[in-house]
Amino acid sequence: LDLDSAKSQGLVGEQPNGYLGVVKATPDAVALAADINAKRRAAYEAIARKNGATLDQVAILAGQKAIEKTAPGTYVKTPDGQWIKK
Amino acid sequence: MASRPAFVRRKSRWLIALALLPLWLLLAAAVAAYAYGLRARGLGWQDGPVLTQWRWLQDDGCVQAQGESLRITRWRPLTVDAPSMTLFACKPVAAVPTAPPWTPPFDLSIGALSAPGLPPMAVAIRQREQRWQARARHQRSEAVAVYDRMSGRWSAQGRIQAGDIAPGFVGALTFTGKGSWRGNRLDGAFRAQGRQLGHGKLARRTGATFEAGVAAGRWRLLATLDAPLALGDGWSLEASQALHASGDPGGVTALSLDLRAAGPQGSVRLSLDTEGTGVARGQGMLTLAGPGLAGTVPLRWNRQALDLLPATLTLPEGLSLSWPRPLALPLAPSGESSISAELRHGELRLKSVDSLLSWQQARWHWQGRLELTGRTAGHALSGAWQGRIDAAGPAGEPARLTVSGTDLLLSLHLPVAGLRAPHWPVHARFSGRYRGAPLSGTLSARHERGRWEGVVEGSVRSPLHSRGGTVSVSARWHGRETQWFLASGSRATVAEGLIGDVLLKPVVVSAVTPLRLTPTGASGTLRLDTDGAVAARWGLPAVTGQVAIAGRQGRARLRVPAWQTELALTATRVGSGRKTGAEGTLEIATPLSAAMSRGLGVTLQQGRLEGQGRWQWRDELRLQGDVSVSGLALDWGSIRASGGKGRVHIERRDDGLSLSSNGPVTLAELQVGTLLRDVRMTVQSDLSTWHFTDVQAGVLGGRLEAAALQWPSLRYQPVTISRIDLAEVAALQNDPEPTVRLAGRVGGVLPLRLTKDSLALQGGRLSHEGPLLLKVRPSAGVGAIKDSHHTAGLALNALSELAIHDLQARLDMSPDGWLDAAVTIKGQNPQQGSLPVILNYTHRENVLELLRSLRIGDEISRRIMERKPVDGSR
Amino acid sequence: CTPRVALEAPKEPITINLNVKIDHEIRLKVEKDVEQLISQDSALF
Repeated sequence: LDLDSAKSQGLVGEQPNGYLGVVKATPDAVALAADINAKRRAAYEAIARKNGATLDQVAILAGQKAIEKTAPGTYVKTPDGQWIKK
Repeated sequence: MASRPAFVRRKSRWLIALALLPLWLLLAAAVAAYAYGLRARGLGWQDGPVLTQWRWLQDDGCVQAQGESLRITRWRPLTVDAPSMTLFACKPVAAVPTAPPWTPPFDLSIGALSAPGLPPMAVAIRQREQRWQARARHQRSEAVAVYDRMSGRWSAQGRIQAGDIAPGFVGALTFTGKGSWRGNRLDGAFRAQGRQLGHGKLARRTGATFEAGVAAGRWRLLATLDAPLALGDGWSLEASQALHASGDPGGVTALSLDLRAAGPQGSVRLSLDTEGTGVARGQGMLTLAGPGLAGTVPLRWNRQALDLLPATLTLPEGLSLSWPRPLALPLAPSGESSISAELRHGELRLKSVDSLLSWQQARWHWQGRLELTGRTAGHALSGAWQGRIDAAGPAGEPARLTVSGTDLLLSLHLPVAGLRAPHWPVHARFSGRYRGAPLSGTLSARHERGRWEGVVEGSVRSPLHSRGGTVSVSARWHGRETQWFLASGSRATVAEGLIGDVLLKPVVVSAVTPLRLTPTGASGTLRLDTDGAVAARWGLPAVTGQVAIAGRQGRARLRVPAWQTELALTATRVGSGRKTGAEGTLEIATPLSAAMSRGLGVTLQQGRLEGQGRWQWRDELRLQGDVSVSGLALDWGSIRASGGKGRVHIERRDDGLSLSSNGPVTLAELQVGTLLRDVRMTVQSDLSTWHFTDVQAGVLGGRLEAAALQWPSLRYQPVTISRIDLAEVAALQNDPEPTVRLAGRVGGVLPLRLTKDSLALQGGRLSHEGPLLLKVRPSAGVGAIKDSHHTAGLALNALSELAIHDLQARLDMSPDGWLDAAVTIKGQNPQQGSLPVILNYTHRENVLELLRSLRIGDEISRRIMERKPVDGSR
Repeated sequence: CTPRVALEAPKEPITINLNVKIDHEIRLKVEKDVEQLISQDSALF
């Protein structure tokens, strides 16, 4: 299961906090989200260190950009925590 | 068929005259036979007349005998061959059979004669000159009887192998007898000698003697057993006195015996007596005694039957047997009796419904339906079985049993084939629901070495998991009476599955010691191995440990090897049924590491956490405990803290969690771009609102203090700073050759507004604490301004050096970090004849970005020192 | 940075008004790095 097929199957979606969220819990979806979020966190931490920002600031910024960039028809979480299709 | 016409009996002489003509002979034989009660169907010819089916009726129509393919193979002498013949006991039995009439010489051979009370025998009867000779054989037993019709005398002898009539037994019985038989008066005496009688597998053998006499139909029997007869399975039979019985063709009229069987479970004594001579009635007693047996059964016998009056018997393994109505056992070598009895064990009842016991000498079988009801271990049991039991064991449909309790509903399917003493092996299949989740599996059991043991394999879909998580159990169990165990090595495996959004990796719980099962719970030591859990934002590595449980108490020592975390838990189960809860203590000791920080916005670099507390669980977790952290270093990306230390009291109640520091929480260093040192405060929080009190920190060479701060809050909360060293403030320009140099201390009050993700300052006041010094160094940039702009040059000259006696500053900072400072400085320039100068200086800068840029500078220097690549991945 | 200087007639003491504004342009850097991360690493986004 890779990210694109997981998103197209509506299993995972982008969240404002910059991390991948599980929309429909399946073992593969949870494992994929866990793996991707760990790698995203490391990347955010590196950017934060390089730019004197904090991890959360970078993550939130990445969250906005990821929501803008993700394919239409996939799930995104609204600020008040609802999953909607973009 | 009407009763036999009288004239036939008187005409027998006329019949003999016809015998000389073969055709007439055949016809006469047929008429005589018919008159004599013979009915036949299917006359055929196979080198001699053949009756494919024949029956011999008594006057009242009762079938005395029947058989197939009776064949006459020779005429002189008449030779008849009957492959099979069955004799029936026609009512009334009372009359003694009359002696055989005159018949022509003949030979009759019967392949298989089955007679009531006797096993099927091969019989050959020869009659010459009115001397009857009969030879009967059954397997290896044989008997010969001779009867001379003229003298009326008969004699018989034979040898019966015990194994032929009672499987598994050995030894032989030889008998002789003689007497007279005239008309329907039968007299005679028998003597039988039993030698080497015993059970095949056992060495013990014994002898027995039987004496019987018949006079005018009245018979009597005397039997003695020389020594105890081995019966197998450690049981033996002994007769303390001889057995006396007498009776007439109608049945038993007198009976007295005293038999005692003794075995490992105890002894069973049967004694019977007669109420008076010739009364054909009597009582007796069946008494059970010994470690596993108890109870007495009053008996009554009469001519036809032995009645067992209602009684209750105690049997081994806590069983008790009782029957409400008398059980009637016909006193006949073969017969049947409908018995209804009840077997009880604790609160369990096994009742027999329309059950029939029938027997043919030593061969018995029971047929009927058993019903089980009752309760055990808090569960209701009900079951039924329909089938047949004989010496070889039960046969029939599998038995059905349902077990139902508050959480469990189970139906078991027990095949009975193969259920045999001494091990009674059972292989049952069960299915049902446990707390709504489907459950199925197999259970095997056998009785071995004085206890029950077996294997249970089962799987149930865990009610907690939304997907996967099947729990499969494989356990060897054993036990007896009230002591039941799961053997060490028994294990339960929870397959990987989802609980909500958490993927729980496989969990294996295995018994390290045998697990004793008691009504209040199990006790023993278990080993727990899990591969941890995975969630979108956090992960738990493998957890292993040991759990010791004792009924309602439990203790666990768990380790997370990857994090070197040690966890010790104690638990006590409280309450019961739906209101079951638990409470106990908890101790945790762990180093803090980055690996633990995946789900956090902060990365724990190092540190040590120790905590202990009490917890309670009653459909909601409550916790009270103390946590102490030391040597803590962590960072929020670029903001870093180190030398963290503190003790915190934590309470988790239904309405949320509360946290309060116990004594000051301290940080040696907090690098936000500029260094905060020796940060101290006490903390109070419910994780959404934080209350800090007597906050102190060293900053820019001075001190920062706040009596109380709340975050987040929209209020402006005063923070006092004092003895701030202007030289360090100037150093914030981060310029190796700074154009402006400052010296001296300032202090004041900064009202701060701390919202969730921003910091604002309104109406901050700073003023000098003692004399200050300002120097503007002539640098290229400054020189250029002086030349091109006269007034500017004048001003800069004035500022070249300023001894300040008064500084008043007003500071405001917007939430996005833009600082507006308005500073009024009064001083004089010592180089210019202490020219008095008033400097109105305004400064606008984004402090948050300033601090960020300082962190970048700091980050690069830190990385150079630690030789880490710029974008090292975590 | 561009300092603006105004001079008043010298009463007895000289009064100097000095207004300094410092600008840091490091905000854009973070966004650039984030943009690059998202566009480049298709396995993560």
